[in-house]
Amino acid sequence: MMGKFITIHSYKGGTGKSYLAVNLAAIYAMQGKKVALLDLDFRAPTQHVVFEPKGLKNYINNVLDGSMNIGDVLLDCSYKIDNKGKLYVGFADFSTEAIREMVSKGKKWEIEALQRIYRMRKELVDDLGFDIVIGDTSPGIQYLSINAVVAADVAVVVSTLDDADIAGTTRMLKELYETFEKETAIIINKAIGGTDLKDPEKDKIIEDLQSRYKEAVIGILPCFCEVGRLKRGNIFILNNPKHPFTEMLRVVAAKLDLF
Amino acid sequence: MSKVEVEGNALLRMEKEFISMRSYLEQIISLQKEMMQRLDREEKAPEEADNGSSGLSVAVLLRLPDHLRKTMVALSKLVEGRADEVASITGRARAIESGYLNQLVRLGYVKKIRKKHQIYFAIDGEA
Repeated sequence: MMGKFITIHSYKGGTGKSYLAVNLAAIYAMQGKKVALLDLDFRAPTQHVVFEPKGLKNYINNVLDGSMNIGDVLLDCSYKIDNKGKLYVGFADFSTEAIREMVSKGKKWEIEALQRIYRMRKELVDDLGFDIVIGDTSPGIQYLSINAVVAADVAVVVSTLDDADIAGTTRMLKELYETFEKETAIIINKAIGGTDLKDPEKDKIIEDLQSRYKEAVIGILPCFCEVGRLKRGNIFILNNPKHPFTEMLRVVAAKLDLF
Repeated sequence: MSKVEVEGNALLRMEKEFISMRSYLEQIISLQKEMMQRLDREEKAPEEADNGSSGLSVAVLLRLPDHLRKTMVALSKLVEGRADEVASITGRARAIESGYLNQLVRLGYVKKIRKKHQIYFAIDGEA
């Protein structure tokens, strides 16, 4: 099986990208695939809260700076899924100084990062033999996120049913994803009113998206209170294997496999 | 003091004032030139960053026509590769990819590397 680099991206923040990324990574790992989850959200890192790594010194920031290889940065976090699979994580430096430094990086640095992301992808897929690499990116159209999307084999866009989110996502799909002929999958998350409350307006948005993007819409996930209630440190699909959210994510993972 | 001497002194004062004004004007013009040059440099900076040492950037990819962009993205995935390897990613014929890769070489985005009897291509300008 040829390895695949999947980015999880969105137009706006708060769509549940990081939550979906970690749960999808866990599903794939528990299916027996060798999985790497990369926190590419350098402006607001999240995955360290989920995995609580101790004494971490190497970050993906070092890979993008050219001072390390991705192999030196990945941490075996399989314990987090009770060793039911192989799950490695690359963390973004979450110190305030590092975030400030990433924000202030020049345009030239961000441009050069594209080549390093391609190298990182090659090392992970070709040299280290990962089956699935999931990149959890920053929301919006900024260089580092665009770089990750451009280098991806499959780009997953997560949107809510919020008007502004849908409008921005649609524009982003047309102006960025279609330009690069990306293999694109769309997930509607926190679909409040759409599938659960049968709100006709929200249902219309979903119908429009499905008619425009057809099979690219791989999941419409309702808003489950229990999903939001669980601490990030507890991976939902592991603790709730029979919950409808877990079942839906398994379907999403299977559909992503077909890309 | 005669009338001629008074007029002569007045002319000398005026001449001095003119020289002083000219000096001020020259300083102002020189400062304006410097400011214009600085503004020009600042305006050009992002453009220069796009054309920086790296041969690969989103800006470069967006500037390329669709057919060359596809080739460039495929080569980027390989980091370094032959025309047939690029063709296996794009799904186009090897000969077509060879032509596109050579176009990218001429445009300065890709470099050609000869290894024994085989020709490899790589993105020019290592980051």
